Amino acid sequence: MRLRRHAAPLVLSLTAVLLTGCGQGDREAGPTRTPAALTTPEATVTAPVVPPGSAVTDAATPTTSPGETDAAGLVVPAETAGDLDSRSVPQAPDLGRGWQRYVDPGDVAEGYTGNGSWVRARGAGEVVQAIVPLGCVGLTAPPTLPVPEHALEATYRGPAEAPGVALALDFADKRLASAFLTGVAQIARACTRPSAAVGPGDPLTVVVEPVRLAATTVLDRRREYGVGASEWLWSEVVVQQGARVGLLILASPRSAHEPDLVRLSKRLRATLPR
Amino acid sequence: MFVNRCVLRLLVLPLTAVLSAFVLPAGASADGHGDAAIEARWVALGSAAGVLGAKLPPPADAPYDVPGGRAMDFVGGSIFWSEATGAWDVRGTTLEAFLAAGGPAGTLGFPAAAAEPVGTTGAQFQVLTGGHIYSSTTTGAHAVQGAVLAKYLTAGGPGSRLGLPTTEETAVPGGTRTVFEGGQIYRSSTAAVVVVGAILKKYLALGTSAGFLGMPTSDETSAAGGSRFSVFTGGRIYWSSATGAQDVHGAILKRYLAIGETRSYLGLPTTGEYAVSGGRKNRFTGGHIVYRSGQGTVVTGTWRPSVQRVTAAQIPYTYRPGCPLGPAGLRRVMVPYYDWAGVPRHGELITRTSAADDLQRVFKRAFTARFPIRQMRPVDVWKGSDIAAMAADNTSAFNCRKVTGNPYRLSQHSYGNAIDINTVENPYVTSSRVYPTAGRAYLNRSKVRKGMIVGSGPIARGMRAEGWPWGARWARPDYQHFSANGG
Repeated sequence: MRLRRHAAPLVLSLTAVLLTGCGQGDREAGPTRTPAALTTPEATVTAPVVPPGSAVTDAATPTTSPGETDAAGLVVPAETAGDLDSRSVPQAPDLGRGWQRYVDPGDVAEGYTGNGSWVRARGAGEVVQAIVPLGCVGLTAPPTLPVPEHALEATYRGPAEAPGVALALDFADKRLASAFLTGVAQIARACTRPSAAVGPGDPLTVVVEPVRLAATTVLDRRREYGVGASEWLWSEVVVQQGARVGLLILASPRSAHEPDLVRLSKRLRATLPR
Repeated sequence: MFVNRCVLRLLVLPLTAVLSAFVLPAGASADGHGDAAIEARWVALGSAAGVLGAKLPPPADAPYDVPGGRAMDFVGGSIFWSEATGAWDVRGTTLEAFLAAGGPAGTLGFPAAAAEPVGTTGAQFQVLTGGHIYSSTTTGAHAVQGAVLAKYLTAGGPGSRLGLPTTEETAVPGGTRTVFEGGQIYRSSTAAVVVVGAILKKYLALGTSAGFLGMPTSDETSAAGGSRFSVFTGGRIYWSSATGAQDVHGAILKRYLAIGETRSYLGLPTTGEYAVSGGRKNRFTGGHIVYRSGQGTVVTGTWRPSVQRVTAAQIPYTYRPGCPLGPAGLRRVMVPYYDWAGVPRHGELITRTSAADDLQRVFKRAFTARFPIRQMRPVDVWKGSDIAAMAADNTSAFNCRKVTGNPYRLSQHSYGNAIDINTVENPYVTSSRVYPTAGRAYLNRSKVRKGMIVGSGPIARGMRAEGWPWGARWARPDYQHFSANGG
């Protein structure tokens, strides 16, 4: 279920502060130059980043993907979402050698069905909840992210059957897309390494190591520790282009060569022409 | 008193005279130092002006032999001497009890110390080589010996709930009994056991050791919820302030113990065993057990659900920062269920708040129909592993986690409004696998076995009534899965 909320002036002020420096280009090579508001050390994310008047989601309510209903009453997601289609996400060769499209059959027990394609529409509210990592030590309260108008997911398989996922999010305007990216950057900063070592029997903890936190680009790598930790190293690229945001996360064996995040960010940005 | 002591003297003098003709009695002093010790004790106590008063008139004014020693009587008591113990005076009702028990020739032996007060109660006790004698103006004087004395002292002696003895140790069916002010000690060939308070009162009402309960075999023991119980050869008596003292025995007790006794769903007995049509019955705080000949025992629970708030500390593996639903939006729903053995148990479901009422109604329907559930515990027991919880045939709802291989997708269970029930008997079938593996045996759904969910059964009907669609309808069926939103 979606809710329309009018954010408080405080939120507006905060957003303005957070967006300071958003005009900073992020295509330059070398060390990332990040706005001051995004680099406050040891920040704990508790504040929303939703601009006033924007749509947010009821964070406790799952939403279904847009699509047709099958004979069993399950929603089969469409292959497009608004103006988003398979051209709005990276093509498999863009990801590097060995990557291919993957037709996710779905998993009804997990709450979604497949549509026979490598791309599928996602519930715009649901996807905003789902991108938040679980188990970040500094993420006492996840930021309330703006909800896009449309969301499209693509799935891939790479070398050693490594999974990969891309999301294309289409927002009502550039301001919301920018706020979304700001929230993603906040989340990345919050997922710091715990002060104490995480043992193999401890609850699952995600550590995000930011590589670049710029106005329109977030590059990071993720590792999981504790019970059920993923065997993969995850490399994430998030870029904003106008009213669109693209997210790409690729797994690779921990011992393997890590993907070139800057190259991936350029490829991803190229799929967001709007 | 004087008469008694004269009787003692008459009894022991001929015996010692005969023995001394052949050999000096053990402890009797050949050199007279026993007599000297008696004299010294009398003097130490104040001679004629002391508590023992004057010596008796001749010929009773001299020490005489007793088995193992010497003795001398005075107006106010007697002094007994042996080589091992020395000379100690015994007076008043204590002396009467001592002599009644046979004096130094009896099992109490010689006094080994002077009488001492019992705190500030006015009572006193005296230690003898074969036991203690406790005396007071209200209880009289009574000897406590052997295993009963050891138990009495272990229990705290006169300062304990037992207080002072009011009888000697007397024979009862199966052993002996010693009555105290606040309880009783029963001694059998194997143990001495304290029975006190309301449990004792119940035991007495049921005929003590002559009744079906027989002899006690354990002291009163603490149990769940501040209750206490005593074990007897033929059953048990349980007590709590809320339920009083109630007996449980026979086949009903055997079943009660097998299902976990006071820690089971049934809790404490609220009645003793009583007759019902064709059998016997005990009621408990959480239900009842009925025994019928030829049918055995049947345990029936009372529907008592509860809903509690949840803290993050209670669900460290299934809730983590970043989950769409936090502890404030979750509830710990305690719903009773019948396990595989037909025993009611407390189930624990973590669900979103809005799902709590729905699931209570569903599981009430299942409970009434005695639908068996293997176990119902938070997935935290398996450290958040859905695979492990399924393999354990668990029933659970909330588990906030990502879909494997997709960090951008949350499991339906992250929202707390989906539930998996009896996962082995109701497996999840994917295109290539069956979860859990043991669920393969249940893919033939027309062969209905224990724990399987069927469309006409209480689970499916209950879920339908609440508007929770069943995963069995899917092309790749998930027989264990229901969700509020149909996903």
